[in-house]
Amino acid sequence: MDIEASPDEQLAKKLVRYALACDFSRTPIRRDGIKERVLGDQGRAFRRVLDIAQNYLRQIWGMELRELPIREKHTLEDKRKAARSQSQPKTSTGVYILVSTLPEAYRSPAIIPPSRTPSADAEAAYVAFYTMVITVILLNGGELSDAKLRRYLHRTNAEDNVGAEPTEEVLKRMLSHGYVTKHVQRDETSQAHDSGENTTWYVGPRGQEEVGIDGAAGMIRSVWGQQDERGGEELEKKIRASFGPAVARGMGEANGEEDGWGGDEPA
Amino acid sequence: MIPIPQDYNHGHRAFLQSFMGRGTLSYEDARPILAAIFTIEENEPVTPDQVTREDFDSYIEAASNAISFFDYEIRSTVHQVTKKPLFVLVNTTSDPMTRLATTYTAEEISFVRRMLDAMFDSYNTPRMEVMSLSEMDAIKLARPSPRRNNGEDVDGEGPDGTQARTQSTDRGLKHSEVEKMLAKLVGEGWLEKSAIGRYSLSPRALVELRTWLVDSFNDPEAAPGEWQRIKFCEACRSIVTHGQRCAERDCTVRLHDICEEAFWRTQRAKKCPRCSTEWTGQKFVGERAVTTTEAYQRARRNGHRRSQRGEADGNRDSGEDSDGRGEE
Repeated sequence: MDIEASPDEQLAKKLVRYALACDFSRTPIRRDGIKERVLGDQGRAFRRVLDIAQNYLRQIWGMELRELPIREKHTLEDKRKAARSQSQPKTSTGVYILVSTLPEAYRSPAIIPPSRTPSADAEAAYVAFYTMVITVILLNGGELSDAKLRRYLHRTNAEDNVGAEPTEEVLKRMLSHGYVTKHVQRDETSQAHDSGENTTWYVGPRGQEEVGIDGAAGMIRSVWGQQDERGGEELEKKIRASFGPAVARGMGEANGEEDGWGGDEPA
Repeated sequence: MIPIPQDYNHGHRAFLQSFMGRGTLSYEDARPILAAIFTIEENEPVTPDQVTREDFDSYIEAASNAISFFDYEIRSTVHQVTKKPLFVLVNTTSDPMTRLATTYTAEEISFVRRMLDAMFDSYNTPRMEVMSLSEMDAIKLARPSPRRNNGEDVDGEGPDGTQARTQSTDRGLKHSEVEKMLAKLVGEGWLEKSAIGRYSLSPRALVELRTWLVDSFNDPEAAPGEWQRIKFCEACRSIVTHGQRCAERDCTVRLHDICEEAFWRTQRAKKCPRCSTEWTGQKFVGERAVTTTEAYQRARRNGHRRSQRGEADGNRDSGEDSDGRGEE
């Protein structure tokens, strides 16, 4: 095909290729990386090129680049520190991931299979595991102590291995992919103990985007299985109650338009 | 602005996402996917056997047109052994080795490199074009060879001096990691494991690596008719890593088993089209180059007896010993 592409369009093409290559291995797509690997000396064109690339991705792949949210301040200490510091709080992270823009129906596993990297089975196991961990974190109000996480893992027979991999390795990968984050509280009393004592797990930026409350709710629905009409309503009510205000705060925007999340339910 | 096809819709986008996730797609693979897509579009159940060849071809064409601007291409190929037609989504500008680099470590990449060298160099000689590896062969490649330095053999030099320099960065893989790596490469569809457990390149790898293989292993200045490492089927012109060869050792005519029948129909006699030697069909490229040798057959017969005895021995004393030693 003969296509006359403008310089911006050529850059957008490179950006699309870069984004697809990064996403393949769940490497976060960074603004700096885009500037270095795609734009070169055209750094100022970032916005323009990004807009064209987004259009390509949406029109052809049914995907788009979504910027990850800034890391939340989980602890009192962090919040104090942020309040004390003179610098402007950061408003954007400059880190993107590729997400699907297709309607829900088109995302079924019958159409989009688990990726073959490293293998379809391993990938499916990984997706299932991080979805489960994110779900239990969300069900616990958005944070989960290490001890409690270990208890859940024990109960699901995942304390040592997930599939063919050691659990620790998988958790490490989840941290590096941004599905979860953890915070280690350091003070005098805990130094003597094993660090596990004061570790708290949170949902990471990628976890919020890719799984979020919707994913967690979906997980719960499939665990509870097919319900009759009454049971279904009951379950939905429970799901809403379980995710509580603490979690909904963080995810509120994402579900703003979804019906049923509002408050017109009889108490 | 690049043209975006008029009737390109969510179904096409989902199909493309699905294809990219898999890397390869056959008509059989695609029918359930398209059925799921049509079910959504038509709002009533469509079963896989209602999906036609035309549906499939039109989706492949739409995807192919949509991505060509981005230097991706959909190529069709045929499995050398099963004759199964397959479509492969190929990245036409990036080197496959750099593609692997996104998911594999430097040590793993260099292992893959050693494996390809073994397949197409060490185990691919004019006398024996094996082009495949057994698991033992692969395990022998776990660590970088001390004799090799920047790709050049330095036989004269003492092994210790070179080793320290070349291996300081690349410490190779553990044997258990080699096994995992092989399984991963099979899972991702780069390698195939045959019934007798030998590893060779998959159709996907052959399509993606075609140019790279020729560039890396063939000598561009070789005279026509001279033996080259990568050779093509006389009939279909794609790479032969599993097929038949001319009975004359110095002749370079190769033929796929699956192309043979149609090819001889176009020929007057069952003779090599270049050197007119009688075509026996008993000289092989690929794993059969090994398995049909007298030595292999003999070893297999003896091996059977020996392994049976070995098992009996193993029951008497621990038997763990020999396994453990291989690891480090």
